[in-house]
Amino acid sequence: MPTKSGTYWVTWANTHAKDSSSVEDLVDPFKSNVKSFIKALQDTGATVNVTNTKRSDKRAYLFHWCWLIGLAQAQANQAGLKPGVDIQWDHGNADKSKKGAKEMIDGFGLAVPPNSTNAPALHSNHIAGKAVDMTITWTGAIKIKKKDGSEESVTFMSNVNQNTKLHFVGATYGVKKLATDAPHWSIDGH
Amino acid sequence: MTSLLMLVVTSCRETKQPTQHSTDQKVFSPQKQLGWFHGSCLVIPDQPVSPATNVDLVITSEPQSVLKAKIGETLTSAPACQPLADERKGQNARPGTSFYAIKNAAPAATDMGIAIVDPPHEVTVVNGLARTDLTSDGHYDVFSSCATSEGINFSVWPQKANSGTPLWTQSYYLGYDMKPTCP
Repeated sequence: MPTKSGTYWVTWANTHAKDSSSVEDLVDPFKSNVKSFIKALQDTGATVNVTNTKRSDKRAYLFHWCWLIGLAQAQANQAGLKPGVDIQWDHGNADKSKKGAKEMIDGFGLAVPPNSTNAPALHSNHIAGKAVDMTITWTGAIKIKKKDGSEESVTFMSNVNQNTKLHFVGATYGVKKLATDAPHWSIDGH
Repeated sequence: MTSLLMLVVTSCRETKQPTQHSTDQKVFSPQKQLGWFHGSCLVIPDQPVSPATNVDLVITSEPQSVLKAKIGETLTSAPACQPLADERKGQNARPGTSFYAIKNAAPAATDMGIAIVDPPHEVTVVNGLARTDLTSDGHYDVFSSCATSEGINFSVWPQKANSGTPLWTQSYYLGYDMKPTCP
């Protein structure tokens, strides 16, 4: 018996469709590559704080469709089905369907236009287990081992997006930096 | 001829007259006096702020709008403070960052924007864009927001958005994926 869209699904997702912050939930070979890169960083004294790894596809599904329906960019009957998420988007009334979805937008704290003009993605490297968000800090300059064993001297920069030497070292492990989002590293830089 | 030249020069610059707020000589600190908000949760990245301090909220909607508010109690978790949701707090709750309730104003749950703590001048909205002279240099500063792949960038610019170097910029980590819109 499906449950209608609304705040129930925010509570449900925060219990049953949580994102992971464990490197173990990534997929190989990216998982092994991330572990090696983190070990190289920690061996030099850097502090690595992993905050997000594999994101729930069920959570992404709820985000995506509540955003579209709640902002009247899709009809409730256009939403696809998702195994394991027994939600009823269509309340049989367009206004009520929109209201239920809007409750979810508010509950999940999603960004709406004009701050964000695109719906949350259904597919991404995070959802595929091929991206990691982490903060890397150290003091001064450190010598980090690249994958081939040679060392690279890297000076700390408060804006990690500008630290191209660190990006270079990560890339030798197959962990590539997305230069627009400070914590984001992935299998292909996206 | 001289008068005509002065008129042209004056009309080409986005200038403002000092307001009564500028009579005190406090130097505005972007790092200490600018923050961002989501719904009724205010985020100040650099240092704690005293309760009941005045704060102007520039909502980066279309058109932009301004709310006058005050600093409320410290917030420690979602849902009262969405930036502290489980998947977000690891990036948003950096050392030194403070989270406060917004008092004396009621932003909508989806409202986001830039907060000016102890604002030095009045913020006005002209042609849908908020502006004020934060640095008291005689020129208006303006506000913008855009989406990155995982969050929102808030920026304050001297005179024109997305032109030159921002006066201040901060990122709000949302913890989900989307198509970026930042230039």
